[in-house]
Amino acid sequence: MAETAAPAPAPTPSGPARRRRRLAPFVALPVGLVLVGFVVVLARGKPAVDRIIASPLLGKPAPALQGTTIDGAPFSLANQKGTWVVVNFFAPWCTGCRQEQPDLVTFSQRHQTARDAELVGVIFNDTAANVRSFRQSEGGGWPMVIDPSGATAVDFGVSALPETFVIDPNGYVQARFSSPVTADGLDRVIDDLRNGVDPSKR
Amino acid sequence: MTRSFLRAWLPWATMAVIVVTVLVLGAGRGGTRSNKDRIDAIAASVRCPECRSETVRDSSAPAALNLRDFIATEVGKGTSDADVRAAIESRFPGTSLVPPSTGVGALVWIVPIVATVVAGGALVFAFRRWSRQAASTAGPSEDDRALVAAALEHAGDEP
Repeated sequence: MAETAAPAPAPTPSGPARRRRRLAPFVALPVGLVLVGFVVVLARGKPAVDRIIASPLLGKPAPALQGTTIDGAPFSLANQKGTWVVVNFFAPWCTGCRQEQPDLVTFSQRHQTARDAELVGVIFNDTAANVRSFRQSEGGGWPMVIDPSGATAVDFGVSALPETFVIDPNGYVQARFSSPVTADGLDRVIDDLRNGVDPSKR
Repeated sequence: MTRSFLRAWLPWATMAVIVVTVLVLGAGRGGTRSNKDRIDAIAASVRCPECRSETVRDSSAPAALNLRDFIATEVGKGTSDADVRAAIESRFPGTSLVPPSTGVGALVWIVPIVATVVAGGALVFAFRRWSRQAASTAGPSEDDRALVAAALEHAGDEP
């Protein structure tokens, strides 16, 4: 009967291999900790809101904004002179627009009685029917102007939604937001502008 | 006009005629472009403000669609290409893909012209030098002729 050969003993790792094996946990641990840190920071981070950015329009007369609202009423920005106007470019398909809608409702309600600030929405690449349905579910009683060819969005230099512009009572563009806005953020910017403070320097 | 003069200058004259013809044809094409060609050309020279990695012509982002409509409207109104581009750049700074004609960006336009002129000059210089060298080594010298004559004379003496 043939004897089965005894298994060969496992080769012992040589010097450099042993050193690498000992070093591995010390490399893997910091890398793992950094990765966990990234995940924690990203998970706890608040989405960017009230981000003010530059615009070639700042300090210049606002571009003409006139058209028909989703309710069929005529609208002209020129008729709003004498009050602060917040022009919000939005669309129902835009996640950031859905996020900011409750704050816009709050802002609108806050200024409803005093009428010291008006809100106007400009529809960006969507239909009046979709916006009516959006308003029904999300709220919003302010004028929402149809911009069928996107000409108003081009005039304001709108790159990506949501974008919001603050127009002073003389009709000059004073601030541009390129993120969802909050009611408090809008009020703070308007207060700053009233007091002659540059809101982008805060 | 000698035959050698004609032979030397005929290729140059032919090349000049071809270059001028091509330039005239190329310059004339701009005048007969359709509005669609113009819209495409302008849209291809503007970076999409939303996605930025595509041109307005290629992008399907809403901002690019708006800009395509804007370009079509302006072209339809008869606005020049330069004015349409300027209007877009004034609203969306940094989206123009056409290098500026002033400042460092102007080098993009100037360098090819200067390079063409320098290369043309260098070619003319080189051709002249080569033709001079060819002329100087065109036939046997007097010494060569004398050597051959002497050799022939000696060859006749041999039995």
